[in-house]
Amino acid sequence: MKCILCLLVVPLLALADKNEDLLAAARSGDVAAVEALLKDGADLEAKTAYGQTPLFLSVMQGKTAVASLLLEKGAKTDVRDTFYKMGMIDMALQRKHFETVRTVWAKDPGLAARSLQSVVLFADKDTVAAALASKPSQEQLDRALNMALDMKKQDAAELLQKAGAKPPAPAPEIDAKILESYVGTYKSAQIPVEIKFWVRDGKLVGQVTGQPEFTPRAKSEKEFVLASVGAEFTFPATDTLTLKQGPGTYMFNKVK
Amino acid sequence: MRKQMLASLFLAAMSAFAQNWPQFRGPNSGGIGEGKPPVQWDVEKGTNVVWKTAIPGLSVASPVVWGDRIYVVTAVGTDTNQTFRTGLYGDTDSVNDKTAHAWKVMALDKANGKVLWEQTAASGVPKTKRHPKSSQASPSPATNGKVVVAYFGSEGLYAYSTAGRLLWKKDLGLQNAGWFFDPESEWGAASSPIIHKNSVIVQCDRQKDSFVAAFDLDSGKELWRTARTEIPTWGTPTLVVGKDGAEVVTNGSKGIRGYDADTGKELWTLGPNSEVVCTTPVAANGLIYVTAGYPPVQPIYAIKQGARGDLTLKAGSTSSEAIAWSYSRGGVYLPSPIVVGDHLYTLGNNGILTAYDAKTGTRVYQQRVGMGGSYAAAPVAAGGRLYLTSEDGDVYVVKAGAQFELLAHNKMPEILMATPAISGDVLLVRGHRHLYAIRQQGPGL
Repeated sequence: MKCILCLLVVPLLALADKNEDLLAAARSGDVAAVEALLKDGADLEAKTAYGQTPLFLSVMQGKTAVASLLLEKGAKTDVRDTFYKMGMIDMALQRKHFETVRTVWAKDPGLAARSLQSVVLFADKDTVAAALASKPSQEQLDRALNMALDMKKQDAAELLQKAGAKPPAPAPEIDAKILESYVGTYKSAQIPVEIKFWVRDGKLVGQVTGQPEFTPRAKSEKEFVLASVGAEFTFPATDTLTLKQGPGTYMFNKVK
Repeated sequence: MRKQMLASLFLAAMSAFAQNWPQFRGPNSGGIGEGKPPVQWDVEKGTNVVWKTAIPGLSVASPVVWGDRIYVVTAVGTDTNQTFRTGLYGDTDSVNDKTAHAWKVMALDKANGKVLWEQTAASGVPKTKRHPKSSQASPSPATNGKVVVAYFGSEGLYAYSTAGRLLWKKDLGLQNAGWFFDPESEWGAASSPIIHKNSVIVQCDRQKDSFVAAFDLDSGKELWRTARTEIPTWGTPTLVVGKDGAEVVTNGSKGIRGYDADTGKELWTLGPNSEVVCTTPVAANGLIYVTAGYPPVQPIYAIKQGARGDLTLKAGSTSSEAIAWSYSRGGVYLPSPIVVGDHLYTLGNNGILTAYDAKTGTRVYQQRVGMGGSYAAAPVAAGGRLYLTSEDGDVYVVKAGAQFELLAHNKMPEILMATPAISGDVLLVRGHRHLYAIRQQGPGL
């Protein structure tokens, strides 16, 4: 029985080592090592503790040659890490590895369309144009334009509009009295932050303790959106606030 | 007469002890000095500035004090323009110091700042990169008045006599502490050594094979080593002495842990915690306060001293037999927390100071200090005042208590990354180029 376990465990340990080595080689851009390890049975989709695959790591580090090789081998492109929940394209764009990003898009044009919001935030004009050449859907275009306008990315906004993105509907006019009723400081029992709201130039302005102020766009009398951070503020009543951001929903009460 | 002499000797000894700041954050890692440094000073005019001494190189290590001696460490590169990148930013890039460096330990006279001796512990090109807010000599030294220990991460652990003679050195291996997500983003070691009885304890959390270990102070012989399933962290271990003996409390991403300080045996563990951990635990009121601030898990825990085993709270609970109180959010990232009197204070990187009732965890106030800016140094306190140091050279003095009261804003002409030290009535502030001794001269607050 012991011998059988040895037969099972030892190869598994050896494979674990090969996978670790493959991840390291992909990260460092060692094409020869990646090739050899894959031939030797390392898992093309091996993962780090945070869900990063060899392709993810190579793209994140801008190692275009390794990324090309892994793509040829059929590596999955739609990978998100398990901690930041970011796609490898988002990370690569932040680090300005544009050539590597375009290499991945050449294999998976759909990925370019899905990354459009990150492209708008981080990419150069050529990369934005390359993303638009993948023919994103109207919804993807419009969302990206919303982001570009919010973040004042004029170049990207122009390209998006040329590609057919529609600017968001003008924010509805909210009665000044209604806006004034939202003014105050809100606290939540769920998270230790305070949010202050006030009115300036007919617009609602907010500030979370310790952070820069923000101006959310009105969707309706009670709903406001800050597209750049994916936050939605709703005032169900004048002394309560609901904040939705990512997977979380937080309830606030006005304290002063 | 004899009783009076004994009493005065005792008081003199106590007074001398009270002036020692033997490790990062001083006696018992509490950050509290016994004297009364001034509230206000003016570096330009020299008001209440006793001396300032140029310290070469770059370091975020705190000065430490024993008796009339101050010990500092630094790393001197051939690029004399090396500096820090201050501010609130989230990018993860490292600084690649590719030039030759000399890692130094220096002793200064506390009375006048004169350099008494300087030793080069190691030299060469740094083995790892560093964070832009960090340095190649980040851990603060530690001393017991006979031995001075300096830890330079990948460059080794060194022990000197107080006269500057090298006693022993140890190579603890490559300390590639960096971003858990990308080991290429190396940020350098920062956990400082601490002294327990006649041993020095170091916490070495790196990408692989992390450990905590103790070495004999006189010989450097390894006394114990306990492996840790940890990723890189930057907090300093805290020694907590209780009725069950002394334990070493370590902040860690995969678990906050307590170890027997004499044997290294793990006594308890607690999670969850942030994935990036930089702060040092602090003990007071029979509780051990541990916090971390990297989202999304940003806890504050008040752990009862003497607790054993797995202390992890049940889902939905904020307290237990082992945990007096806790928060899952609100923990802070770089500056370590401090307990002064009845209150626990946390200082965010963005200058938001939050006060809690230390026993119950009730939040008492939350207030931005100053007009913004970024903070890396831990608060220190003395005479009922907190000293809060911003990276941009501001030192705010806040009255300790249940209500926020700003007593003074002092402007220093240098970047301040290091946590200050307090020795008697002297506040030692380390700028990126000089060490300043601040003490009341003449009448003051």
